[in-house]
Amino acid sequence: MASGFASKWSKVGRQLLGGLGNNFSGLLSTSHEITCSNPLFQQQRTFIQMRTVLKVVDNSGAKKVMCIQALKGKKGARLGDTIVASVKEAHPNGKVKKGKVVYGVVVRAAMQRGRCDGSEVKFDDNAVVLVDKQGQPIGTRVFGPVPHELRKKKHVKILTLAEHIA
Amino acid sequence: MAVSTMLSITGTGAGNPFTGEFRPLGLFESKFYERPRKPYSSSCMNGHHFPRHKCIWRLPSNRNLNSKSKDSSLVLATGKENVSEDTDDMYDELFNKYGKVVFRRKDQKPQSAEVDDDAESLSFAVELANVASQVKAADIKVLFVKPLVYWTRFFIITTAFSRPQIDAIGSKIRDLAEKKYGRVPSGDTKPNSWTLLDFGDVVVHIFLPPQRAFYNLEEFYANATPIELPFENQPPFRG
Repeated sequence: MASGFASKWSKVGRQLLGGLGNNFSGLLSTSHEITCSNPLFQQQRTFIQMRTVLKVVDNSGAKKVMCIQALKGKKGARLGDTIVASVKEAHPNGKVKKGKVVYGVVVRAAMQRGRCDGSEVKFDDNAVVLVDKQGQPIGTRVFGPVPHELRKKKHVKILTLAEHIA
Repeated sequence: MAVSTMLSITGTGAGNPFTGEFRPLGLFESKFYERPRKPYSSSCMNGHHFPRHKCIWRLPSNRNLNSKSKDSSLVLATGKENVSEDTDDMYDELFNKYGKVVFRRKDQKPQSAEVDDDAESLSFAVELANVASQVKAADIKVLFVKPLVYWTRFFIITTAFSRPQIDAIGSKIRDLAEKKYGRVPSGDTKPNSWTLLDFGDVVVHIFLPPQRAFYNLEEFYANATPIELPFENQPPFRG
């Protein structure tokens, strides 16, 4: 039972930085806490690279895209970078169809990104907003939170269309 | 490092000495001790509510933590329910010593200064709108979006009828801003069907007529108060 609990805890810990809940604090003993905050129990998130499937969070018609190239960065794309992607799943009557090659801006990434004040931001999923080659968004609204990093990267248009800014 | 320290605090039943472990903790961590997250839970550490989406996570910065250690200890008290007797006494002591001060944001200016800044930005925005109307831009709207959006104060939305006109409006606005106010915009350098100039607290959007209808920013920011412009507005569609 203890092992089952530990595995559940480690899964949650992976998602949630290992620190949650009054319930957990009551139930856990000291040894558990130390092992679960151990880097071995936390998932190491990495860049968005070729074959990464991302969610599309605007109303352009696509649902999922797969990255085929990160335009900047040798290891891959991060939050705020542009990628080239292929549409894998789309809504039946949307502006983009399945199989189309599109550009996208990463608006949520599971990998943490440092901010200038020393804090880091990370999200639970990888999400992208489709743009055209000139950087104009293809959709008209962006759903979910978008981080502030986009302003520095000159994606203010996406910020204006976003419903919530992190 | 901060993560392990945070966790050991939760196990206070073991009787860990508190004073040593207080210092690294920061403001953000108090919110970690909320109920265990269920799927589609709506609250997040920033207090924002996302109906559909999962939370975002911010790791506290070590630099800030040390300077706010006193305040952070008090904030921790409010976040937790099942603390042991030792910590209660400890918090009571601190409260008696420092008073019931909860964290106060140091970067927020007082009301009067805010209003002055708003007035400055307003005059800047109206001037830019004036310049746009001189170049015969149509349907200029200035919206006060500060209550809706925290990253800027004013939006100027305008329509131009051709790319050279967009270029002209853009360059006139840039020149005026640089000469009179010394502000340089970050934004599109090449004219686009939606050209954007970002002056920090004022953002200028220049559309071509079909794009204006397509993106429909007025509908998206319908709750923003429009600002009256002192000159006559040209009708949106020419000819």
